[in-house]
Amino acid sequence: MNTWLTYRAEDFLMFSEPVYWQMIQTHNAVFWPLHILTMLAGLGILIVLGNPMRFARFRPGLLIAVPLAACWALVGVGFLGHSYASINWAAERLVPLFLLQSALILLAGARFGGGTPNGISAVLGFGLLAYALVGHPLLAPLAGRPVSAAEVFGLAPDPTVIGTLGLLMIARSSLNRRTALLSLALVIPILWCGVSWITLDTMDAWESWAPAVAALIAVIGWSLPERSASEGAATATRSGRGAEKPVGR
Amino acid sequence: MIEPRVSRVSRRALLAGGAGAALTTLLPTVGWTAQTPVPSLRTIPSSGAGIPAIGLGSWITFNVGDSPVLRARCTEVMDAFFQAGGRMIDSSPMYGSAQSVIGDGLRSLGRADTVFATDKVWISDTDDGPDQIAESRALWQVPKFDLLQVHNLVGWEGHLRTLFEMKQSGRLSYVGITTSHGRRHRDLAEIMAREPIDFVQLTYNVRDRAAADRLLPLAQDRGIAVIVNRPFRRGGLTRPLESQALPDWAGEVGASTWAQLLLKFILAHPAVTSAIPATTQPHHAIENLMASTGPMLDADLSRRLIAQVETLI
Repeated sequence: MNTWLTYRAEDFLMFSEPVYWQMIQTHNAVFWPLHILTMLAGLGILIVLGNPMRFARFRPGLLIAVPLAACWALVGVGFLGHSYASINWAAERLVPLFLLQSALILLAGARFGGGTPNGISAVLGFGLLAYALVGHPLLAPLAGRPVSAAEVFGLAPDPTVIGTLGLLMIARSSLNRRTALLSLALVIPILWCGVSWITLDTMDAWESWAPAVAALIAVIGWSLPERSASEGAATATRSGRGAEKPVGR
Repeated sequence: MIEPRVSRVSRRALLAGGAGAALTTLLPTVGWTAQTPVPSLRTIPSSGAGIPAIGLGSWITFNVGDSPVLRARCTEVMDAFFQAGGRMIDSSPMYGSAQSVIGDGLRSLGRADTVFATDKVWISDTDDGPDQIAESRALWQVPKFDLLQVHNLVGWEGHLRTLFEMKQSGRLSYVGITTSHGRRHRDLAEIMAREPIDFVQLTYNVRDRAAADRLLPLAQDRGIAVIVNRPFRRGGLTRPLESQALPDWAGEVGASTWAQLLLKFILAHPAVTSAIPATTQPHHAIENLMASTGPMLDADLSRRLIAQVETLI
């Protein structure tokens, strides 16, 4: 029998659940008070995404992409390369992926003209983004851990990734299409959701549902036909309210 | 037939063993005392030196990252382990921050000269083996390793050459090789038959007994010391058993907990030199060490334990 077939997920888990949450808490302490900035950045992204055309003269794509790309770089270098790497040597190897995602977001943002988000994609996207900003940090106190151990958007990977999934779905509804660049930008967040789900599930952490459900919502939302996913946005674009820059198709 | 390989135990020692086991529940508050029995020693066949039959593993339990609180807790575990007579600590570059946690603990406890430092080389490019070993030694903060093992047979031919050279030049006392979870036993047997290794590390416990078929007898024949990892299946045995009543015969072998019974089962095999349970609790470290005192399980009790555990889990 192939030796690799005898391995299970738990064989690769090299830390315990309490140590994982303690690491998050230590990470928060190291990076405090950056949390305020990243949360404000998330809120700003949410506001701009709600009506990109209101910010048309400021290049709304970049208004969204620059802070989000910075968050991905911060999570990659700060969380994976520093905090998580202290208990998981494999984390360091994921840093380039997070930096690549950061670059993809910048590129997508530079090309994003923005239209008014609408349809199921937008609803699901705003739901995911709102959960990432407000809901996910509440999991720590709900689980009986201190607020100082909360996973915050822009500093911890799960809320950052979930928020990004939401943002991509909103962007899709704004453009009324799945551009190649947006589809590409979905890959790393979905992969991370898988990694996080397996890690948390192997630790028997009940929070494992969060990345799994987020990825599922994103995949389902992304698979929806254009019309049902973005109904209304097309009308908005045709009427001239949304400037669209088709990319890579 | 499984025969205990410990020296004969007097009734007085047996009674002391039982008392010592009972005392372990008090240790976190009262500390270790000179009256408590000393863990039994086993002989390393290649040198004739003695080593306590229970060591301390560090997989997962000592990988606590940068948290000062959790690192201090690991030092407490090491302190309890040393005070109770323990010596062998086992780690690997694969275990995250465990090596540096051990190194800091040894330095703060002043135990760098006491510890039987057991580590591994684990890197696919065998040319990088010496650098990894040097890095590991710096993390441990010890003058030299007592035992270095090729981890999970990764690059074993090249790494064994490096380790034999280190032993030849006096920079290492013992050379070994490891596997776990019952993997690659055939390859391991070939290496054991061919190479002049001092130690082999493998998985053997009340549920994973494949090593007893070939590897343990081979180790006896070849005079290779055996370190047993995963004695509790990473808590998979002790957690479900802790809510169950101990067998009524447990007192006969001086065991007051399931963990001690499980360790006594392992140590009953004459080929086993040392078992390396890992723990985050200082009193568990002591309780584990005390499993090496008093009698081990005889063949009949071993069979009864296997049957009972298979019924309960």
